[in-house]
Amino acid sequence: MSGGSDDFFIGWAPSAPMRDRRFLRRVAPLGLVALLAIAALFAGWQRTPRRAWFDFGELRSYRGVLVADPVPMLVLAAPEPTSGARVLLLCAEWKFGFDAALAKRLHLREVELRGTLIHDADGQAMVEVAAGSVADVGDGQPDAERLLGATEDLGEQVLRGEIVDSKCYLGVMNPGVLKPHRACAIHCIRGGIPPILLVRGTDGSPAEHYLLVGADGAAIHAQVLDLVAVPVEIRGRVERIGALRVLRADPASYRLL
Amino acid sequence: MSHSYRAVGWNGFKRRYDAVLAAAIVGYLTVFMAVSFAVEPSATEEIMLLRGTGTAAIVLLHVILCIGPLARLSPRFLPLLYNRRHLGVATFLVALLHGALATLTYHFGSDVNVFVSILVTDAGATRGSFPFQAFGFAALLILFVMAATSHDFWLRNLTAPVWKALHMSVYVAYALLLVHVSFGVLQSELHPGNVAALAVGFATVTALHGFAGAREVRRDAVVPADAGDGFVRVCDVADIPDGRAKIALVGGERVAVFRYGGLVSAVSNACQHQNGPLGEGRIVDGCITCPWHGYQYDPASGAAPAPFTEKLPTFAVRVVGGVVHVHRTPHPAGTRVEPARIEPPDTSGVEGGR
Repeated sequence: MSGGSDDFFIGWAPSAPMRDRRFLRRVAPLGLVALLAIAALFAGWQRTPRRAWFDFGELRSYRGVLVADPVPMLVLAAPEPTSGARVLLLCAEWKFGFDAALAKRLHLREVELRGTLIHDADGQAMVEVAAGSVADVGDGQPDAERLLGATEDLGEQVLRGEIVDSKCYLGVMNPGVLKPHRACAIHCIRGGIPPILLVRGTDGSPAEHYLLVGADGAAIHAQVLDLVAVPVEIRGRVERIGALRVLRADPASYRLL
Repeated sequence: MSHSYRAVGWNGFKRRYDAVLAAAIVGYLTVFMAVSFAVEPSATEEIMLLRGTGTAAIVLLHVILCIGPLARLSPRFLPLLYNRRHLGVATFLVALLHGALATLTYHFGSDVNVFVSILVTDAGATRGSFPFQAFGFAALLILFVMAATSHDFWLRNLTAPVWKALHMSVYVAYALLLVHVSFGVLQSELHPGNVAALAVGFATVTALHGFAGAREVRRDAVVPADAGDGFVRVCDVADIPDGRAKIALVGGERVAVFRYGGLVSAVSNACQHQNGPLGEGRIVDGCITCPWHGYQYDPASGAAPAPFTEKLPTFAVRVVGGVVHVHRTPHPAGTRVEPARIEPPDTSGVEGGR
């Protein structure tokens, strides 16, 4: 079975008919060019990546005052050099939040810790704290309000946006929003990472985000899982604590849009 | 063709086919990553690769689904069909990488089992939380089963009809992936080009299958007239070019009636390898040769030449007054039937077979 037919393609034959060879020589390059063009278009049509970074592999040391409320954070005496942030939100490795009990115990203590910086172009930053790296070096109770700045009550507001987890949004996953990221955000928020409400700007204005806490200022996690990565409306009291915006509202009052 | 099992029965064409395929996949991912990071340099590498492999897999699946009907509409596409299984396995591997990256990125690192996470985490009781991950997972499982059983070992052991039915589940996988994409990434990446691309892909696949299917329906709609003695009248012998066949619906089964030299034989139209349309093949080296993968059969006996063992049902055939008659009842596969001899036009015809 080694023969062939002048114009009939047989895959195992020593050579393809001339007509098929000519056709393939024409179609294969066109197909490849079309495929590469499709790749470029799909890549170029992406809209959700933002300017944010996770400095994976760069473990850094930070010293500052640990504040437990409304979410665990480290307040630095001077701006962090890479991000320019003076307040670093804290989280643990993988999809877990910073140890709440440890935060309570070290509240307003001066600590040293090591971790990986997560930061965005808006100057917001978080540190993924390396397990077991937090050391209490405090000798007294620093004035947290002086370090953070006074809490400013911005009044009751109605905000529409998307609930995301702060760790991924600030740079660990870029993009870390909307439906493809929904499962991850649910895991992160359930694991103790603070949820935030992302309010996208209209008419080119920049997006803003608000740390979500209960009406009493307590941390919320499991209560918001069903509403992660879907459009929601939240009515609540907005406070500015330094550079942070905090939205106090009862999760039961969140409204699905 | 091969009569013993090897991982891959390599030949020159398959090597060139696979080289082009590998270059296409690497090129696609390279361009996707390069453009993605040109647009946003701080994008996360694994998510961009996840998206690159996801879009590559769905594009490749569209190509796979188009090759079948294209090859039915024009024999020029038969070379693309010949090694389609390697394209299918490559598509599965790209999809597997996409699934692995999605699992590692979105599901690993919490206190929930990753498989539980894939199947239930994104499902919610609210609008906009229609799950999409489970659909992608199910499609990947189908592609895995198809890739794992793509070798001729499985084709032989499962039998061609079962194997063919199993591999028709590619359409189920395609439907699952349309849901996966529509309720997944299209809910976040809102550029209209994305929706348009998926719609064009779906329309192309549907239209090509429609055209190819309509042609077969038209052909099957011709009911051969009864010719007595259990025979039906198929066509004039002059309607069959030498070395080729006419396909007719005889007794509810598609039969390929081949003319070669001064002889006419009829066999089942379905190749024993992958149910390829033998009637669209040719007589090569005296053998019926399937257009899909070149499987060969003796036209009189329906048996593949030694050492091969495939056998086709054969049909009694006669030529009467320049008209080909085929008996409605097939002979058992491999039964030799004397070919009908084409007499000069001034004779009344000679019967052969039964």
